[in-house]
Amino acid sequence: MPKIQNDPLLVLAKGLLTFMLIFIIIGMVGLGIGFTAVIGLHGMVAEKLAKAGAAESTYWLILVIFPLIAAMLAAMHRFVSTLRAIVGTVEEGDPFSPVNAERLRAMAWLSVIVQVLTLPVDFLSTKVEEAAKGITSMNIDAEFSTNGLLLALVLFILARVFRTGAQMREELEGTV
Amino acid sequence: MPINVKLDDLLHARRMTLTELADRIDLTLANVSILKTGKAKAIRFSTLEAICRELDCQPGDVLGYEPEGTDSPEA
Repeated sequence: MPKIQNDPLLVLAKGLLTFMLIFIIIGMVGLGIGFTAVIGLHGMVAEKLAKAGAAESTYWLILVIFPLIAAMLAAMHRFVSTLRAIVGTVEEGDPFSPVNAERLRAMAWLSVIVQVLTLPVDFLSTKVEEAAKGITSMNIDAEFSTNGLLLALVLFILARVFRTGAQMREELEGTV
Repeated sequence: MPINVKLDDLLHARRMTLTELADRIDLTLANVSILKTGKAKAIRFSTLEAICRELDCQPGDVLGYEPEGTDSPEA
């Protein structure tokens, strides 16, 4: 298969995905710093929450949100890096491979995982936002989306399309 | 695979080399070699037609069927 070089769409996709990967990594670092700060400044955070009339459990809710968001970001990172690998195979002129079928299936599951994780994050963040009202303007935008599930469905179907495509290609390769 | 390709015998009988056949039927030597060694999964009618034309034979002379589990007569 011929290698595709300097295709504007592929260049744009790779650039955008690289940017997203960097953005996610920055987010993870920020989350790590935030988590460390919340633990390190436990007394101060708890005191401020108590002053605002929040229950003692609010502090622990905040702590639970961090690993959940970290898990979401990790899933997103894996999703984007997998997509980037697929774009790489398109560039190489060899996209119909069993590896790409597996990648698409993995991306579908990652999409489902992200959607499932939004449920507790949305619930907990709403609780914390209500409790922390007046102290800070906290805004975690994590909502369950049907688009995310639709994406997962499309990816599961595409994975099957790619698996069939890979089989057809293998047959074609053995044809003289 | 129970289908065997008898290209070797045909080439020997016609005193033709694999390279020469590849040139005549406009196929790469690698692909003709895959066909000869029985590693091919499928053969195009156009390829079969070209082989029959160049080797002056019938498709049945090129391909043979031997059910799996049957001992080869040469063995």
